[in-house]
Amino acid sequence: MATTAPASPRPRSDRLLLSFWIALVVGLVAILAVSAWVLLVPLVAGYLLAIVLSPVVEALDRRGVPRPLGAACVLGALASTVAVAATLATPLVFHQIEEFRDHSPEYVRSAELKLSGLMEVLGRLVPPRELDHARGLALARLTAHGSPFDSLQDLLDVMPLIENVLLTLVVAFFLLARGAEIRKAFMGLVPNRYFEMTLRLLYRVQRQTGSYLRGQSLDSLANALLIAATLSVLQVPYALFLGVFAGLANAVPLLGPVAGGVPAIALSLVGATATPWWVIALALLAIHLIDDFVIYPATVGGSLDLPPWVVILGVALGNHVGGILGMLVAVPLIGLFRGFVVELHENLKGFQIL
Amino acid sequence: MIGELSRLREHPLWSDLVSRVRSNRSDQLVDWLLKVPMLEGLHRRHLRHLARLLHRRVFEPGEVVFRQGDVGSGMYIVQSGRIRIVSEDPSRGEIQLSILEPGHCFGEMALFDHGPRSATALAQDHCVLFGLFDGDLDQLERSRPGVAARLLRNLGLAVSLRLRQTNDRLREIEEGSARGPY
Repeated sequence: MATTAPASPRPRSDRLLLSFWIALVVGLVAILAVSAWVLLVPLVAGYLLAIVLSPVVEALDRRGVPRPLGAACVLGALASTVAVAATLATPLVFHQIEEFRDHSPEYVRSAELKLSGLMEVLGRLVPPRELDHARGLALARLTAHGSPFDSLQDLLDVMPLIENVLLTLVVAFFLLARGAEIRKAFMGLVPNRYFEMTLRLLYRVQRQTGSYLRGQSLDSLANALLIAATLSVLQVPYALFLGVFAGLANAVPLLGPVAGGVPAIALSLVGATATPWWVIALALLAIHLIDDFVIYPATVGGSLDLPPWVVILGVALGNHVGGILGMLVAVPLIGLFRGFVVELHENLKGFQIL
Repeated sequence: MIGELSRLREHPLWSDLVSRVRSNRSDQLVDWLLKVPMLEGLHRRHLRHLARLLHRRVFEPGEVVFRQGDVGSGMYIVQSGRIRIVSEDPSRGEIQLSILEPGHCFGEMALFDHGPRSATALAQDHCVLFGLFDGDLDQLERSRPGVAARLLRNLGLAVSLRLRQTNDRLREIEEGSARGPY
């Protein structure tokens, strides 16, 4: 119900200023439109990184460390830790992948022997030429030129792109050091009618996302360590790689734990280890139960609460859009988006807009 | 040309930004916060932290700050202008409860209970308000627990003072009705 002044002819300074603002806005929108795709990944990654690390910077701030210095220290420590871990662990993981490639023809032969009964049945049902073609395809996927790890290899090649990592760190630094000011500047653009609602929504979604990401990272790390250690004790080859894979897969509810366990059991079935498959299955089940009843409630606290069909569709869609990385991030993203929609709906009702 | 430039500097689109920059430079906001009764006992350095979290909002005459029944998420401090607090009653219409002047705070109950707003706040004239919301307070609790504790104590005192005033008012009404109309 703001009062409006009667219309009067605009002075020259008004027209000048208006033209300046219009040119500025058009220019900014054009730059944003062109650079949006280039900057999208580092912006989102930087924002998520800042949310995850903000409690540490706040704790340093509480002890009198200025926020820019705290943010620089935390990001520096994180980058150093990742660099050291990558330097130490990457050769080991790659060595295990190479070893797996070298042994894959043996595993295929062993699998064919074990599944000979099934192959006979298939031979009766499927024309021999088709069966040979399928066998050739399977072997090609497991050997050097067409390994199932190719997409993971691509992922590992793409992830450490220096400019993306640097931009992510820069975005995270500014958000950690000057988050309050950036939020205030953003909120300054919101009209009064929607201001309180938007701010409340922003804080709640940020809190929800932060606790989920921090919890899920810890849960995945704990799972990766537990599975790698257990498989090492059970003398399953490629234990480190399988542990890392299972830890990453754990981010996907329902399907993740199964997908993480299947490779280890399959290795036992094709004779890559002397440990019986059921011992491995029991050990993985025990770890899954420990995760469900002890680790997950302590780290994440509440599940994403998505129906199974949404999880399956999300994984399929993620695979279609972004391969292995898409499969891993699709379900958490759907869960977070669902949380955002629920919050938005509650706020629209609470502020009597709906 | 110089005249044109000086007029540009005073233009509403521009002057707000200029005054904000000036205000930051001279710490005018902190100077003003030192005079707000609700923030009594907070040192300048504490107020500097608080000022980083406060949201400056400008309301035109008649504009609604918040409406009765809205979810409450924070409080406002009046820097300039006047705010009219009204209760919207379906049977009796709009009842004016108070007029708030610069330095006054309102909406602080929402920081404690996050419940629906008990009244509507409207700008009586061109108003500049500073808002502090529950997310900001959470952040203050995490980064400066001492400042947050002091602020919450002051807010608690203000709420209890208002409760005492309401009790006194009720007592007066009861005594008045007991004496009867003659």
